[in-house]
Amino acid sequence: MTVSDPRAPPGGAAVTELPDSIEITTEEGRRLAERLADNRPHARKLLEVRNLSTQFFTREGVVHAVDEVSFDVDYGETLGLVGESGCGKSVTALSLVRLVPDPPGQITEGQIIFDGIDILKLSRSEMRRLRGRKIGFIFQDPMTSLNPTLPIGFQISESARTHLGLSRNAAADRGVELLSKVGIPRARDRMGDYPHQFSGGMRQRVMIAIALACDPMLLLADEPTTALDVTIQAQILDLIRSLSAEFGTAVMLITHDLGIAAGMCHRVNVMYAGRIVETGVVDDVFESARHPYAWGLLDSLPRLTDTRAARLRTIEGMPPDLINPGAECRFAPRCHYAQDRCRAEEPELTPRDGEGHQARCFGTEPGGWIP
Amino acid sequence: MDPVTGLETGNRAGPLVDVDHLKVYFPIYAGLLQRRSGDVRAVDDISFAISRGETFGLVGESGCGKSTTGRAAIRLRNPTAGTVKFDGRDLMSLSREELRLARRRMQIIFQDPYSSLNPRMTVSSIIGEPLDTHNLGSKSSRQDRVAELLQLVGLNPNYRNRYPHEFSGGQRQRIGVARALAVEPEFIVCDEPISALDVSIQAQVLNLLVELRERFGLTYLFIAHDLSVVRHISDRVGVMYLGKLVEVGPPDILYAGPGHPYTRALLSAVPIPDPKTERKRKRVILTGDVPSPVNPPPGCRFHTRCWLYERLGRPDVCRIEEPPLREVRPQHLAACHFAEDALRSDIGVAHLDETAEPAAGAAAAATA
Repeated sequence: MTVSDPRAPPGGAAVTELPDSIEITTEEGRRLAERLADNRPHARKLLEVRNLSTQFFTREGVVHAVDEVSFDVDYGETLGLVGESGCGKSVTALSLVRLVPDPPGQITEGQIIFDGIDILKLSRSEMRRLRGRKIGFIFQDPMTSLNPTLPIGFQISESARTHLGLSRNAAADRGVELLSKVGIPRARDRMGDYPHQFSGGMRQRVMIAIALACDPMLLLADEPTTALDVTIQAQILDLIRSLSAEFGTAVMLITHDLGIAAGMCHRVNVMYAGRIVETGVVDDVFESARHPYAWGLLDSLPRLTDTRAARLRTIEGMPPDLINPGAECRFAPRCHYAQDRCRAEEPELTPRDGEGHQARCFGTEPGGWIP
Repeated sequence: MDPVTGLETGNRAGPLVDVDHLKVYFPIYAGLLQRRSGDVRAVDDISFAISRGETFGLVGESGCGKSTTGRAAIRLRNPTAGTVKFDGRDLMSLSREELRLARRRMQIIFQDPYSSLNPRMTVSSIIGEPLDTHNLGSKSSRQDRVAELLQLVGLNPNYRNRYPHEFSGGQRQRIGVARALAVEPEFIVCDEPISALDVSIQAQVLNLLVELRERFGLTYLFIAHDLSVVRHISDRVGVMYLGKLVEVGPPDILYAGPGHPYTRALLSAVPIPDPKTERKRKRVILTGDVPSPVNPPPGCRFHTRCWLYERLGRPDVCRIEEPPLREVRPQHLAACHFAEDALRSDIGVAHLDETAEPAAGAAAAATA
């Protein structure tokens, strides 16, 4: 075993049982401590987000990055969060684990219930227990999210030691097991290698191994393959798909690529300008989108089956400024179908055909003017 | 003689751009004495030609040499070996002045609209700079020309005194397009022009490029990693892998039935925004990473990751002999010893069964 731990004391004393050392100061924290041991469901939904608003207080004004967003994630399901840059999808994910940089960001409103525990009521140290143990993350850029000065073996076993209280040797074994699981050949030999010795796809595999180190109930994957080539992307998506099926881990997949969402997710939320504008089962949203932005986005994609140089449909203009979004429908300035009502008030998410299918548009409501 | 550039215009019927056995190597220096220890073979012996008015799409993954090819095509990089002929003349044989004149006829649009525009220059000076370089028009007529160009790419001419940071990514890319068009070129290398943009903005810029091509009869070398984008804009598509051109053909033929196992794997890896299709697709997931272009595998460069090689029981020829790019069907070239077997497979195209030729559809249905 060649795992070297730069932080270990000389002689390599076994690590003490860390889980007992957390300070429990809140009622929610006590409940969390009871639930750390296993992954049995304790609530109806794994995650319930209600009216979540996250704002950034900048010199130019208050940016309403995420505005009254509500959604659920079921145990074991894959939920997609799709939209273009600046629509609030990443801030939503960061808010769920309270990692929004503060200042300038702040969760100003709402509730986040994870497995029956109100996350916003946890103390900082209790929150740290939850993160990593019950929620794993994969970020877009595997180079900046791994520590370049530590061997990857250390980085993988670190969370198993911190959260599961494993000894160094047991954690190292767990690291080897995880590395082989994510498809890294000669896993035991590579534990002592540093991130720069891995290719982009391999680094992303290491990130997935770290995220899964403590067998989390939810995996947050924020554009996990955007920095990768298409054949490597296929490998990584396949890995996420099979691991989440094997461990029953729910996945929240954040992506701008509608193709990835179509292939990976059970349900999707389409976000625009800080709001969810459409939500539903993938088939409903992709085949009968009921928000003009959602179908505009789908229509604007060139397809593999396209004939040459047919004009692509476009969404003219740009997303609105989120400093003063106004009381109108946020998509109205770019919408062909917009009428006076759309410019005067903002629609709510209301049901459409299909299970859980909802859209935020006056025009497609029953009796609306959009067919 | 061309009245503007003074260059030999060559044969009007011949291709505008003719790349012949092009090699571009980047030397690696190592050790205390910085001796040359090897080469990165970014582009390793590729040949293709682009006719006037044609759009040639070049696809491949990062590091396959597609951008280096694009740069060598307008001599922003000097080839290590081989020739690039523009309108019948070898670009390497041109003097400095002749090259400057020839550059009026060929331009490039870069990938990153953030780093390819000088942040200290106004839009008007960015777009006007090529006019300056080539002494086109007087000072006042240049201002009119800048306004005209801005209008052409869909920007408000009143923005001409603003700086790049005041524009969004899509708008900046339009500025890059206007700069390329300023000297009325015939040939434009589009190096991943929409990869850095958001989905809804990509469609806007792609439409603009198609409009401009039709309006001015432009010839494009369109480089991208996105197969659907390349299909959308190209008359012919070339697929690159590790410095080699592995397949060339018109998109309708090539996408319906690729003759190279790499192209098939690439097609099967592209996510399709349709959940039903995604569920019934047949994928081949390539194992491993692209090998290093410093020591490419012997024989066929793709054999280390090739699914067909495995399926055929690892034939020796793939490891020993480099497959030439040969015609496998009319207009369709592929560099694979077993292209005929690849053509018979339904991998990568099974999802197209409604649109592809009936034979492929039947095969997909039979194996499903």
